[in-house]
Amino acid sequence: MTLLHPWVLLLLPLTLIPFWFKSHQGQIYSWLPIIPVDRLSDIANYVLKTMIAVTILSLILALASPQGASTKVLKVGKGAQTVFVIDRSVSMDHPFAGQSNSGRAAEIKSAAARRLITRFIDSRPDDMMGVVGFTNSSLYGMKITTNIDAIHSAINAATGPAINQTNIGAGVTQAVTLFDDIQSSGSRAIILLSDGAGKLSPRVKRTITEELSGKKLNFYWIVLREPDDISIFTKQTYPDDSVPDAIALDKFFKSIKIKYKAFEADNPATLQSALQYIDSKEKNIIQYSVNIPGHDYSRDLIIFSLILGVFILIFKNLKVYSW
Amino acid sequence: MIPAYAKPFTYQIPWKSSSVHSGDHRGSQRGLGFEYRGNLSLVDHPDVRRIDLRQTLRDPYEQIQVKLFNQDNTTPIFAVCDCSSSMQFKGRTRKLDIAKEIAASIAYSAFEMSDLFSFIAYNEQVIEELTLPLSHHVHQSFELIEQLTNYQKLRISAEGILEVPQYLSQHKGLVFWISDFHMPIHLIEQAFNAMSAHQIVPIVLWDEHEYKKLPKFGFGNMIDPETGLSRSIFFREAVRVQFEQAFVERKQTLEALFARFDTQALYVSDRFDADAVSHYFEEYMSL
Repeated sequence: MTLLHPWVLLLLPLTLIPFWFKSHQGQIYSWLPIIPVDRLSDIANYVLKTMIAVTILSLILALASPQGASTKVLKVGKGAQTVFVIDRSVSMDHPFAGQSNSGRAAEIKSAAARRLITRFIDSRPDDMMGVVGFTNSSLYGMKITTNIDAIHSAINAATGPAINQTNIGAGVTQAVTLFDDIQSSGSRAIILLSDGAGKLSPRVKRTITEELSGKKLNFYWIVLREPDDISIFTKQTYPDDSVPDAIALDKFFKSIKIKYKAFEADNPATLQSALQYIDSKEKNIIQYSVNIPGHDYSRDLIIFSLILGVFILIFKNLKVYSW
Repeated sequence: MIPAYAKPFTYQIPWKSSSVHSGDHRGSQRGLGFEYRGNLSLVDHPDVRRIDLRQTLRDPYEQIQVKLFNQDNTTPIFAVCDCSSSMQFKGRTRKLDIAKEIAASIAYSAFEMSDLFSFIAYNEQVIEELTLPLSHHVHQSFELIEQLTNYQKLRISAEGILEVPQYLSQHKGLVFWISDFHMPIHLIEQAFNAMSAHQIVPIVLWDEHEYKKLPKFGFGNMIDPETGLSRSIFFREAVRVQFEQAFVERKQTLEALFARFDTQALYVSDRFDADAVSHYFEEYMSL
């Protein structure tokens, strides 16, 4: 038990107020000695004074806010520490590439991503996940946590539309920093979900290389392909000066010495199978501790003083003011 | 102007006044009166108008006898008023206001009987500015007594009664002691002893709200105006009974004390009735 504001205890002498001060509220009665001695009255008077004193006492203690000791619970789970890096650019609100000749619009990419990622999260309750969104710069979504509700909200926020920019470098570097404050469980992965690629500056490339290999992060890149986009798995070769961004980026990731796999999803089904693949790969046993805060006693004290206050009010209403 | 609350009553005194002034009470002074005192020979008392023919004829020494009479004289009347804080108690009327009515009535009655009147107020000591020496100046008395209306001093006791005897006359007088008698019994006894030269009429002001008409149920914080102390009482039927009992006992104690000093108390509750005083004198002070 600890007190958050122990200096409030300096107010403790205030509890003696009902015993110190004489009441000047009342009726003038000509002569006290003639008033018969009545035990019940004395007891009632004493009880009332004690009740007021206890009310003041519990309010002071509530102000000091006593807290129970916080406990750490060690949890063991199967899964991974995963950070989703989600592209929020306007193009995510376009339909999937699908088959361009089907004559029917496919599902919106961001909506499908939200749906499938949500399902992915639900299927792995022991995972710790973080979320980063990005467009022209990164947007911190949620730290790596086990709180499923928080992750859901962060995913919802990160799959909303933003401006038309795809700064993958910012997103990835931000995602990497999320791993800084938590203990490694052995299985750590970044899942990059984007529908295009951008150029990375040599400086960013260097940072990403250092961070990814230094922290031993697995890297998955799911490309949500738009119609008419070049596939990163194309056999076609390009001259060095006109390599498409996506292919260049793929090559860059392959060049880093980490576990890396790229997926190309042009409909929700392929996106789901990509996620399933990642799911099957990232199944290490992870151990983490959860901090459970101690009981906050000030709430109980305030409720207690409220109940006492009601009784004092009843006493007060039984008071005789004139006769 | 005579205030409306001054209601005269009639009173007698059971002793012979030693005053030399002509008044309405039996005196010890020889003079023009109705009280037969005895006979003397005309030689000793040459008052031809009062020759007692019958006695003259029966006198074996054949002296001419003259009747002697006592003159009716005045007697000093005192109204001693308790101005301690307990007199501020208010049931329907403030006790001090009733005391004011009684004092004014006494002043008025004394004036009608052409007696001397003196008003003495006291709390911790005698309040000089609210005290008048013996005089016939009834209007001055009225004005002074009227000042009690605004007298509201709290936290002051009634110890000053012990100083009052110094302000009384040397001749035996009639002293109306107007008080609630809410003071230690030994103090009352001491005061009676000090004033034993006089005939004292204790007028006990007890309000019905003090013991009969108490609150039926609830908490009351009773503050003693003299000491400032307070006690909380949880009023209910049992307590009301106890209160009445306490006052019955108090009355018995007071009456036992008054009886020892050969006097009877006159109880006044929330209204002063001048006839009650007249009856009191007929009952206890007639010849």
